[in-house]
Amino acid sequence: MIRIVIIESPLRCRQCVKAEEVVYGLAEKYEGEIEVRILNTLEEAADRYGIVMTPTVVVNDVIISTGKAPRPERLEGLLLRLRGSD
Amino acid sequence: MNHTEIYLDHSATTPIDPEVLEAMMPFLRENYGNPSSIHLAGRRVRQAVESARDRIAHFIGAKPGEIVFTSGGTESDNLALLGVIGQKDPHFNGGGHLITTPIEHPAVLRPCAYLETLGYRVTYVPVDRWGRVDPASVEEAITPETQLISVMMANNEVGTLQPIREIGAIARNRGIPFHVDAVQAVGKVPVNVEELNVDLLAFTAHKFHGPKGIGALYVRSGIELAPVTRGGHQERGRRGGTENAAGIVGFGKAAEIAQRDWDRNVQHILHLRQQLLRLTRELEMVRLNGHPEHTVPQTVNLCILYVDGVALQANLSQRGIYISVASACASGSLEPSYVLKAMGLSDFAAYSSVRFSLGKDNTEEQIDRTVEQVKDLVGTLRLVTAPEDIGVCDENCPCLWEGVG
Repeated sequence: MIRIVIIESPLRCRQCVKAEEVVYGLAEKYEGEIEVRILNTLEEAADRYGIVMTPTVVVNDVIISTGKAPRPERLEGLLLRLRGSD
Repeated sequence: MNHTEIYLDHSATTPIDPEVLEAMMPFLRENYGNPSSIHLAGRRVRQAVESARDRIAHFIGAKPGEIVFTSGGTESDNLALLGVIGQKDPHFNGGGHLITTPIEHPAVLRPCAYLETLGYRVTYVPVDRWGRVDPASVEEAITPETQLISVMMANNEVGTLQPIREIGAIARNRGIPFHVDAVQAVGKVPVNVEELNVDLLAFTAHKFHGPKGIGALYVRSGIELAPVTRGGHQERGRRGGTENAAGIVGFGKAAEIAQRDWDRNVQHILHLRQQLLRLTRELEMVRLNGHPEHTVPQTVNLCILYVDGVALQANLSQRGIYISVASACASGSLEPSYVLKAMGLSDFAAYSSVRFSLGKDNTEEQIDRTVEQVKDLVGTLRLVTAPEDIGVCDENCPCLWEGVG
């Protein structure tokens, strides 16, 4: 199972919404393989990531993008590689 | 900072040395007199301030009377620029000319921008792809109206050292005051104001294990400055305000320790630097952004292509390893480093650059761990780039440089 966490600003900035679209789009495409969790920066669970910018997207505990939504094709490329190494 | 954390951001600030803190404590507790007071309580503190001044002056090859204490590097730079111009033109009527570089710290660039709004002309002499300025270009920029030349000694982002002695000789020959922001140099490389032909030199304690909030401006005898901070007659009328005695004492102690431990610290840092530079050998598509030879050894700025520098920095921070990136948030979007851009790097390369800055307390084990973590993270982060985007890059790769292709 690939774990993706999106950390957003409490007011859900424009890029935060875009990040959700990208991630949920892939979760739907690869149904059952991706677990998505949304946090906002005020939640204690977000503290461990040391967020400076939102959205921050974390895949299997690695921050893969911060301050912007990842490109869908690039995130998918990463997921396919991780899937292949499972 | 706990013992598992690895601090590699010494260009931002350094931990205060325990001996420095110990030296400062009496001046935060029982010796709280105002050094300007004429009673014994004040004179004790005055003595300590002047003793620290002597030590600091000796550290940079200056006379004690040539040291003006300030609140830090930023104030020192402002005092140098606005003080020299203000002395010549008390009403700041404009019409004069200054020469500097586009990679100066904002503490120089912002006063220059301010002077431009008042009608002064500023020439920003370009730098090469390593961030180094050509003295001949500085000389070429001189006009009959030139009132000041300001060039930093070591760049804060990439570590590149400028040919200060040569530029200073040109300025001296033309009778133009020469200011050097040496904030990133003092305590790291030898600095002697006589040898460097410098007229004004800014530096600060917290970059070499002294306290924050105290810095100095060296002002060569004979150079007149209009004060920026007007008030009491402290610092011979050049900078009003009750002296930060504890800070000054700490500053002096930091200078003493830096001189005492110089050889050992330099050898140690050079060794750690070589270890860190394994990243340029063991990873593909990594460029050292600073000059390979003319550099402060502490600073290692790497362009790790196809890796988002901010993401790498965030991941390392999460793992207790603290480095820095130069990209700055502005109006909701990320701006690439203006220093790297001035060196000719593309936005793409600038966004992929991160800065490690070493300190005397870093260990070989810490650097080894950092190298392994970076290699591991780079492997994952590069996967975020589609495979067909990754090519083989060398120094002349078009994606590294602006305007190439």
